[in-house]
Amino acid sequence: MALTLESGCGVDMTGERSREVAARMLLGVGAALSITGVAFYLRFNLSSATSLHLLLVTAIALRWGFREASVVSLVSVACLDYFFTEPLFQLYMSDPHDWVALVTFESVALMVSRLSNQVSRHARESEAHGASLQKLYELSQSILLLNRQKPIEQQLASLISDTFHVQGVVLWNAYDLHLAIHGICDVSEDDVRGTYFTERNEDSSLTHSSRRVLRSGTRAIGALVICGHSLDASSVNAIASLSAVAIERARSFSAESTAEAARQSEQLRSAILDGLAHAFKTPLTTIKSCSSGLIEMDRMDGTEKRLVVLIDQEVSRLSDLTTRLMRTARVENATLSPRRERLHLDNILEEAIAESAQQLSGHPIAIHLNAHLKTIWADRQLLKMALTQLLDNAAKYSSPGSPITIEGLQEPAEILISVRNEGSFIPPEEREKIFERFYRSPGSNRKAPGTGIGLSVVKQVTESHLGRAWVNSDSRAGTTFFVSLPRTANGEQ
Amino acid sequence: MEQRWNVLVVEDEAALRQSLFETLSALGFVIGEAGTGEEAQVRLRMVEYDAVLLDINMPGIGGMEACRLIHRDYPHIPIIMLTIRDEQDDKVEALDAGADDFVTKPFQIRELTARLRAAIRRSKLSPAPPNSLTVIGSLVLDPVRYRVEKQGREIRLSPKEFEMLRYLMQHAGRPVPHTRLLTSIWGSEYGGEREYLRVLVSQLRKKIEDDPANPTYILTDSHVGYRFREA
Repeated sequence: MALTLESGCGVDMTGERSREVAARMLLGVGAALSITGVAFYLRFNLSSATSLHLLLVTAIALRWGFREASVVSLVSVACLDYFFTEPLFQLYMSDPHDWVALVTFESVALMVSRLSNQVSRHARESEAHGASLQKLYELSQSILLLNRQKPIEQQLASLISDTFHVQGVVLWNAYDLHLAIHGICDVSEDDVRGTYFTERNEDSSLTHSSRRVLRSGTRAIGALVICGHSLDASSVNAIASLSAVAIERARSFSAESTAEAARQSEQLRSAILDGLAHAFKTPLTTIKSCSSGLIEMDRMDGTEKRLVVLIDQEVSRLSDLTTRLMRTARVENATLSPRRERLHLDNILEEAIAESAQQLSGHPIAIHLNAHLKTIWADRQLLKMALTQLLDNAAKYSSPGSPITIEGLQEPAEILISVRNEGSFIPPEEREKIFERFYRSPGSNRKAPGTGIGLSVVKQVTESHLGRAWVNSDSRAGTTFFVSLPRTANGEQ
Repeated sequence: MEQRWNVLVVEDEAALRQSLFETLSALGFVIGEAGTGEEAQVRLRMVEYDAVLLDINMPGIGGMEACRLIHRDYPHIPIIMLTIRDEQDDKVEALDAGADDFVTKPFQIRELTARLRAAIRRSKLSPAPPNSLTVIGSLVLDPVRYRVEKQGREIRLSPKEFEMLRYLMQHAGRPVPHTRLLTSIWGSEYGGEREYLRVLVSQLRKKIEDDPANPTYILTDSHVGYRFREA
């Protein structure tokens, strides 16, 4: 039943087909005999009769094939010899010319038969090729419809097996080290993994099986073994690359959905923060109105008054914190789409400093703006929020009374704003992490109060403007936070 | 002894309402209380108030709608809105709905009473004739002669600067939203170009303020607009 891998003409010789061939041979032989009879009756010479027979053999070769035409040609030679060469009615020729004529006739007949056979074989081959293309197409379509919630390998193995009617398919996914087997395949798991590790493709005509390394680009991502098949090597290659695409696609989909899940949980967290902050606001307002009311009434003696002032101050602080939490929760919650406008950088800085006035008290602030740098194309609220965070941060982590320097630089492609404070060395391994949400560097818990949200807001704001935020820190020169915003934004022209 | 003004406090949060009642009463106001906008309307029909203190977030018709209705029915009673910080759109909307001023939660009682008193005082003043001199601090604005003087010395202003100063001084003590100021100076097709305002304000401050970096006349009402200091 099984045929060799290379043979494209692997067609079953069923009994029916043999009978058909025999019937055609008989018919052909009958036709040859009839022609002989008619020619003999009409007293044709050898050359005329030969021409008639050649016509018949050619027609049979084109219509039916090599075998039929060969048999008929042999019968024709016998008839021509018997009826048309001297001595008549004997299978013997006395004239060497007749020998030449009949040998030539037989050679031409065989050649024509051979040619016609090749033509029909090519036709069958291209038909088979077309069929395998059709199946590959089906496979590629079905791959698109694979269930993404279930493991991809098992689905893929059974899909290949069903589409190409092979005995067995074994698929190994190197991403999650998962092996899937469908049907019967006489290979061990180690063999399959070996194919992946040695990166060697193999076709065995003995067992009618093929091994392929699955690749995404140049990188091996798995291995495929197909057993008991009659596919040509290029089809197997195509199946392998389709499988690789399917595995890669499933992987990127799952990566995407993981990111989506992370985003959703982040959103939930922000929503909770926002809700909590709102819930805190109302009682805080009440406490604040009581404490500030008591102060305003001015009926208390020294101690009482000092205590109430303390309550009043701390309530303000708590309320400030809540406001910030609410603000940042909102930044994290919304996909930031900056509403950009042309802003005067000195105005924005002024407003940001005013907003952080309480935190900055005692710190001398120096602003150096590049002479050409006047305006910036950014979202007012977001930029101010980011700058406020940087200023608060600088004030929080530097020693009391130390200066804070703000610089603005105009580069060809970007506008660079930096905020520098003295001290507060940030080790290199933490410079990325401090921009992550809720990250607090190990030493900072004792040093300064904070929520670990501020710098993540700076990062988000700058990234929403297609810019970057980073930090340089060294124990002598101090810590400098940078925000760079691209100048080539819309409206810059 | 200052006059005891009648103020209606409309606040759904009972604790805050109580604290406002206690403190404001102690500070010389006569306080009426309402828990919703609907209740406020009932009380306004029964008692004559000098001002309404209105929370922006309330059940029922809500603060904004209550503000609109009260302003429609009692245009002479100033309304002070209690708003939440960071919701700048609310503040502008409240001003457009007829509120006279707003105070951001959580607030200092001192600030609240100052705003209340200023608003009530303004409401009791008979409106000045449009061409009269406006005097605030050491600034004198004469709309007829197109002149501004500070401590007797004339200050030269561009027409736009003059327009802005006149508008702000005529609305002294009240917050003026960006859009209202823009349209009053440049006309109704302007409204979004706040940067124009910022430039104009900073020019004006350089001319009229003693220290433009710490302005005492033109104050910034963050997220909302500007406010000229009280007379």
